[in-house]
Amino acid sequence: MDLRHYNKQVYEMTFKVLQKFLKPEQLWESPWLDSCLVNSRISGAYEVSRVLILRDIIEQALAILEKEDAQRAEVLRLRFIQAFQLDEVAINTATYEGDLQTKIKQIERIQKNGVERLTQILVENERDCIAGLEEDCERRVVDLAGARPSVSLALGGYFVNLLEREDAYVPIADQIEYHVVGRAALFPPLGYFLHRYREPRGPRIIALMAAGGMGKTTIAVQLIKCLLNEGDVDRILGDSAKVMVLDEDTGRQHQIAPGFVDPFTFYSKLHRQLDLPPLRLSENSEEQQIASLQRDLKAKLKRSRVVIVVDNLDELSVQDSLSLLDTLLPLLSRDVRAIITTRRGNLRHPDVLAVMLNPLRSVSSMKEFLGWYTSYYAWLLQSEQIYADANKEKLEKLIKVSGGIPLVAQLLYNQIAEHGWAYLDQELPNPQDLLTYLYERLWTELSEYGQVGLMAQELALQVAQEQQLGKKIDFEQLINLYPDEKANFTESFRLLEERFLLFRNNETSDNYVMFPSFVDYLALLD
Amino acid sequence: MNSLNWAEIEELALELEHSDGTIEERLRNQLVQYLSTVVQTGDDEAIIRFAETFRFLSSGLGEQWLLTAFVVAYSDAAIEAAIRLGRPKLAGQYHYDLGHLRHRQGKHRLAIQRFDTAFNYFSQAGETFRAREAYFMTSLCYRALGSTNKALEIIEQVLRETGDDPWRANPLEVRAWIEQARGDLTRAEATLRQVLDGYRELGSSYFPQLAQALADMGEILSLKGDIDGAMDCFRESRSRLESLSPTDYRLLIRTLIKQAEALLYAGRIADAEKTLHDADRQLPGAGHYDLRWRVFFALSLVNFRQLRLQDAWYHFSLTRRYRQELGLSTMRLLIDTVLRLIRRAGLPR
Repeated sequence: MDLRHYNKQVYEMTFKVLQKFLKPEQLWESPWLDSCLVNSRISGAYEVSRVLILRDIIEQALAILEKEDAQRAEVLRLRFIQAFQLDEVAINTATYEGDLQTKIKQIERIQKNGVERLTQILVENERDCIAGLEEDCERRVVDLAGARPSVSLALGGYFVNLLEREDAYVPIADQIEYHVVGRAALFPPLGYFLHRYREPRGPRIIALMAAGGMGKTTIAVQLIKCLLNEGDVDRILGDSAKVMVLDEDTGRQHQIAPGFVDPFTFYSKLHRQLDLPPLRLSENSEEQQIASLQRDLKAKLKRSRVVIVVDNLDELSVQDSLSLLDTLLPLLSRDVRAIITTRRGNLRHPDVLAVMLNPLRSVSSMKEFLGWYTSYYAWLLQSEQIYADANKEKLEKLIKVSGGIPLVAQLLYNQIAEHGWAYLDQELPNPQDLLTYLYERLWTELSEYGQVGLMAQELALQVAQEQQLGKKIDFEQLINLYPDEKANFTESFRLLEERFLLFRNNETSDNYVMFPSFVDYLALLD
Repeated sequence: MNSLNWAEIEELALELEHSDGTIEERLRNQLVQYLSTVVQTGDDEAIIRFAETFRFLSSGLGEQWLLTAFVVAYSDAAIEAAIRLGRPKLAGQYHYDLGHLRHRQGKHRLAIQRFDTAFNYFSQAGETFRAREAYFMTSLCYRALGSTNKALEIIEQVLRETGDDPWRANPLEVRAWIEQARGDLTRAEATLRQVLDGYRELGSSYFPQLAQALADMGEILSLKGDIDGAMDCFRESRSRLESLSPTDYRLLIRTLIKQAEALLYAGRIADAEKTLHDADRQLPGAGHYDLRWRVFFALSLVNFRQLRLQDAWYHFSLTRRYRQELGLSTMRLLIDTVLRLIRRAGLPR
């Protein structure tokens, strides 16, 4: 077995255990840390960089323990140092002899032995813990039928719909930029966010910042899925400040009352979501009203494990956004955290883990992204050959044309799958306008199919409307909309599906969805 | 929408019926807009058809899904239409539904008004049994308001009129609650055994009532010191309620509150606290003030036992605020609590 691969497995397993054990209350109860310390002398692997993770893990755990109980942490730290020194002696006397080749072999042997021993500790001594760890928490859907009480009914349907989607995300490390504390850089991004979320003194807010189409809401949803699935939170509160919906008759955009428009309406909404009795606020100033709401919320949130979602913060004025952030922080604690998504701003604050989502700039990132996309939608896209042809030159061109924006790249790739890589040779607008251009082109193309095309457009508007209302729509419901035109319906449906304007939520689901950006595009149609 | 499109309305109702309850503000507005259009037509048959289409919301889903205002609006519109059309039974039915809604919300005075009016309309229509049901329901409201003598008077009258019909399990259950409140646990237990037999005889449509009575029995057994017997009852109650679809959260929360009380009496304070926090968390939607104050009142007592006085005070102040919203007196609650604790009759309801 390739040693690196072997180490990776151990690392991943260790990391998962760590995720559990970084909760101090569990550290106290568990013999795992003790077990690691007692057995750490086996690990000549300390001298080998990849397995240094073990030491990092213990150091991090100790740092957390130190904050909770300095005395106990000190005892454990001494034992750790002692074990480590013994290890060093073993390395110095046993390893550095002979020629270079022998040394390398010896190091590898020690490394392998260390890794094996570590694996043994993890698997044998902590079988229960490992068995209890949930795999791929972000990929599992949240069963809202069972979890509905914990997910506020007032939370936007759009967000709730995403919670029920399966595996619609690929973490691409160099797309996601954030300031890393310690050696946790080795963690994958989502794991890092979870790790920081679980730190008792970790950032109170995780702010996902990016332009449209970068995937910030998707990542927020993955994180929430993990928090819910792993039992880190009991409740999700909050809402979206999105202001645009479709008129059901005309398909045109019009303004609606968003989930909140300023700090006062935001806190009032949280207050209602918690079903707190109303406060008598009318005679006070708005600042006093917010303070009263906050006092009430803070008291209620005590002893609760809650994540507060502030979706689309950028819809608020700059002043209101800042005011909301200022007033939100005092509400937050170890057990009450917030996840914010915004297109604007650069939130730098000690209590904020600022996550910027960048365009996909490297060929390897784009290749990884397309690989995931190809396999995830293999049942619909059938683009394996196109993917196989994606050489460096083609990928660079795709990056240039799409600006590296994942959503734009996705839509372009749909076109490439149909027309071949030559599709990129034509003159296309700049990346900022490309999304609208692509939608416009696809929309106009539908008109060219006569009655069937018009019906496809009508169908798209219908699905967009349902999606905006947070409702699910399946094939049977769609076909029942046109009981007298079933023959045309199938053809219209195919036109949308072929263009990836409408697709199944996942391979096994019968629910149909659209990209939110396409829904927004339709809303803007005049 | 300028003209009525029944296909759209019925489709919307069907969709709501199969919804998981995630309903956006816009959909709420849409429902109100449809209702307003129907009312504006002045077509009474259309108004009734509309109300019947959405009547499934009256059984508690309306509150769970934050659609209470809509339920009240279409019910009142249907009542007026039914009166104009000379259909007293239908008017009685909608008053009865709204009586239940107000009772569930803990607004017992409003509920009594609705049940009394329903009684009159049902009597006018010759619907004796329905009239008796409405009259019986007022006993629950009077009891909740602390007028136990009045409640008992109604129950005895209803029992006399009911004869041997197994339906008598309903008034008997209320009588058991009053017996328990008066500290006569032996009599309350005996009455409840009759109630359980009655609900079992009535069959599957009475599953929720059976689960409710099991929770009551659990409470009585715990007050008598039989904690194991009590826990068996709570377990069965919860498993029956959890098997229902959709889950009747109100009854489930009620069982959890009683179970927490039993744990408190048994000295399992931490378990009691956890159960109450679970109850608070599991209750979906808004406006369930009557259940919330019970949860928080029990929590205040639990915290008091834990000597966490600040938390106890906070939960008591929440109790007071919820009760204020419902027009219920705090002093009355304190007096009832003392009296019931002296009688070992459990916490006030």
